[in-house]
Amino acid sequence: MKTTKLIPLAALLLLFNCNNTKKEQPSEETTSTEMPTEPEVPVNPDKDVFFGNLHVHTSWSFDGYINGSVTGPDDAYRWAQGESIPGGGDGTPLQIKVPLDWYVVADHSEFMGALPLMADSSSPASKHPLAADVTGDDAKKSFDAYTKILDDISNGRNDSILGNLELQKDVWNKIIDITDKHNHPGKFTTFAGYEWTSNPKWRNLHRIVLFKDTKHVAEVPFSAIDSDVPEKLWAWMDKQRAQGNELLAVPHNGNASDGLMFPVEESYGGSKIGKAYSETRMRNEPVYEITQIKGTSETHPALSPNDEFANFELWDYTLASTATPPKNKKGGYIREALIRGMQYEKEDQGNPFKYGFIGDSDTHNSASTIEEDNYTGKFGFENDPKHRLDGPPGVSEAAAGQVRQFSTGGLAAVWAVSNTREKIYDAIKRKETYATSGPRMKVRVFAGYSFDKNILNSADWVQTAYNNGVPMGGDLKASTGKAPSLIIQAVKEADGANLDRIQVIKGWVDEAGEAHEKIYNVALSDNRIVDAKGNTTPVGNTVNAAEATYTNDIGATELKTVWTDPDFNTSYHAFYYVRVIEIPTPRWSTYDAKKLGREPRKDLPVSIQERAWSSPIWYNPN
Amino acid sequence: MKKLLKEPLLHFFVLGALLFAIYNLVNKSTDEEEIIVDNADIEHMAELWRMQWQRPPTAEELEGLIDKYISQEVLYREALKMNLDHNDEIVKRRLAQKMEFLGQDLTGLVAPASEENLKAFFNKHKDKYATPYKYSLYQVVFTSDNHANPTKKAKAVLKDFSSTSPLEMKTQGDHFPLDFALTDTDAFYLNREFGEQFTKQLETLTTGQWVGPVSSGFGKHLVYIESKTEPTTPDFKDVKSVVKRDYEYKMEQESQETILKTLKNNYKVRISADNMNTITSNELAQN
Repeated sequence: MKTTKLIPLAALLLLFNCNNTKKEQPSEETTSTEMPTEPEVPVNPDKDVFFGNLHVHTSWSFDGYINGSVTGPDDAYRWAQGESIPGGGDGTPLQIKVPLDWYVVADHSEFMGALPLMADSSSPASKHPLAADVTGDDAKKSFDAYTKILDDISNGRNDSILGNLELQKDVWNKIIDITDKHNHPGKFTTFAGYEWTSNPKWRNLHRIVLFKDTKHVAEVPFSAIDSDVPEKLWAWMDKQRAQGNELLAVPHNGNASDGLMFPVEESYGGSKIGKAYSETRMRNEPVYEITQIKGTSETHPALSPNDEFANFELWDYTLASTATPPKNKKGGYIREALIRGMQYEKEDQGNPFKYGFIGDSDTHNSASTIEEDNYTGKFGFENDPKHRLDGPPGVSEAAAGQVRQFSTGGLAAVWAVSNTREKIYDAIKRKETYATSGPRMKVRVFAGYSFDKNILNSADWVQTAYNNGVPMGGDLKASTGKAPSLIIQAVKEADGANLDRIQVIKGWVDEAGEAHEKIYNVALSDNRIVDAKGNTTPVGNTVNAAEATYTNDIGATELKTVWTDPDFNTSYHAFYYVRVIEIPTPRWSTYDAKKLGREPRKDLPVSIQERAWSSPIWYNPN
Repeated sequence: MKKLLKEPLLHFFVLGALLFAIYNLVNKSTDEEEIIVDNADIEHMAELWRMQWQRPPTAEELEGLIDKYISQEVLYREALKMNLDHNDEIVKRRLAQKMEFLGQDLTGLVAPASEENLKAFFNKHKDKYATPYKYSLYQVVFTSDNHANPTKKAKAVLKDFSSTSPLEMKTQGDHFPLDFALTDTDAFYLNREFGEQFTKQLETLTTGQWVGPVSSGFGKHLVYIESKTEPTTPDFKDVKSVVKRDYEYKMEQESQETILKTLKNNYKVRISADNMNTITSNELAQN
């Protein structure tokens, strides 16, 4: 019989002669952190764009933990600042190529931080009936446990051990401490946040909830177990605000909501669309997450048949394990909702869908791997290219298909005078934001009535544009008869791919209340021109599938224009948003195929055209 | 250090701590043949019942639960006496897990992140805490949007204008949304704005004159570096909180590995499988 000798172990500990902090996990006591003194933060009145993510899960999310994440919030913040962290899965460490400017760990509030405690025999969570299955290495058992926990959440059943109020308060306080530890004004910004995980009958109504600062936060998050009705969440948020806790919510994945995200007649909570509903919704939710790992919900080819770029990284499923496409596309995609919002407004019901845009991740492995050639999957067990392409072991072919159709997720780009909590939060609030599908191209948009055609040639054009117009996310004042002009400038990502074109996407509502949408190609690379119908030739494709490479021999470094709406009618409600399209580059699945020495799969696009979407600018005739 | 490790008194203390930790993990009862069921145990049974049935147990049900608990405890202890825990996969896994946690708990008993340890760590990883390169510079860029051959263009401009004042060069470059004059900037900012390949090249460029072409993702640049400050190591006290964070993180990651490695050294591992090649088995045995 083997026995372990205790003395060597004990002696060994002396060698360390150090404080070994416990493996990162929510513990019973919270520690105070000393804030280092920060130097003066520089301010740029012309504003800079700061790239980040606010939709990031770690092993402190129940599904992140069960599906193989081995890292927590502390690791996530390190990763965003450029450090290498453990990856789980096949053991490959995770590291971003270019660090981000800001980051928010927003774990699911339901049973937040409780699952990692199941492995700790000193925690009550370890005595949970499911602890053995969750922490064991029987994949089927832990998946069944996961389903059981998810079912509790979906049906609003609290778990008195995992959802214990004291435990949840401790975890939340811990999150706030870790958040503060990594906040460095001017360099790197963090926020306290979480995800409210409402999915009635597997239809996705999820929201990220974000607090402006860590001094004024709720005692404990409002979770989907408290209520899965958005109106109830907003009521709680209004109450928080009354107590001095400034916060906002960001909805995502309308594509997985079966039409529930942007309700048509009546909301899931039973509200009729009207002024009160519109005002409440917009007071709490300034921006919508238009693209992420579980797909892009700008529009669907069925809703926008004339949009040649509509078929981009779609993920057409609900959250049900059956992997079935939802029946209703209407109510699931933002472009249709933006136009319908103006119809409501025309009928004096307010506009409940007046959203700015951000892009985000939804990683469940701490690292929001937005770089196409550095994608490591959504869950920990996907940290192995075979599992990304063939599906994780033991899943159905349909589920494997869902994993293959994951996108690498996107970025939230924010125009702010400095990289601080206050300024980034305010920018999101006023919708001076844009979304990208991952690359860090710089996109600027202003709208006004008096812009000079050559304004972009003057050195101080940005100040002039602010003085005489509104930036992305803004509202044009009523026209005295002139058509508005848009100043648009797009610069490629520093070490990324060139640009194909800039498009303006316009939606409007005519006298009869009919909805319209039109796409204008307003700036093109390589001296291409637009024909009488508004069409142009494709930019070309340099992607070498076998090698997973592309070249910048086509496309533009910078595209810019001052575009005046040729079809303007002063009495129609309208919005304009800008879409910037990159030249084709290899999709992550093409890079993975190369890694594994295989041919790229036939049922996936070999290349994609990454893009940016600016927040809309609205025109209201009244 | 070696000497310290041979110190019996120290062994005594550490062993004591270890025994204490283990003692607390096993039965609350000291007596072999005594089984104690206390309030906490009963509350926990009732709680689990509530989770399953959405109501508290009746007195009768609770009695049944306690009875079941006692039977389990008796069977468990008898099983231990008969060594039934040996070679049971599930028991093995659970105990190994507990041992991992024990390792973590024990390391916490040893000295915390002391000033001395932090300083040593800081000195060892000075590079990590060094300030980035700082520059004051001018730059112009030639992109392929405007030139068939940006490199050729940059070289021609350099040849014709290299002796002009830095400010006169401004009009020679493309109109492009990058700053011409960058005062007191650093590599951190330049990486964000110009990309890493551009920033890396600056480190070796001559100062006080126009040089180039320097490549970036945007095109070919000509650069005039007015001043360059090499990275410097900050004072320990200014970065202490960051060092502490890194130190604890690193120790946590490394200690687990080292503990396991050291424990493994107590065992002689032989892999005697017929169908494996010698190299593989030796390698596995070594790890």
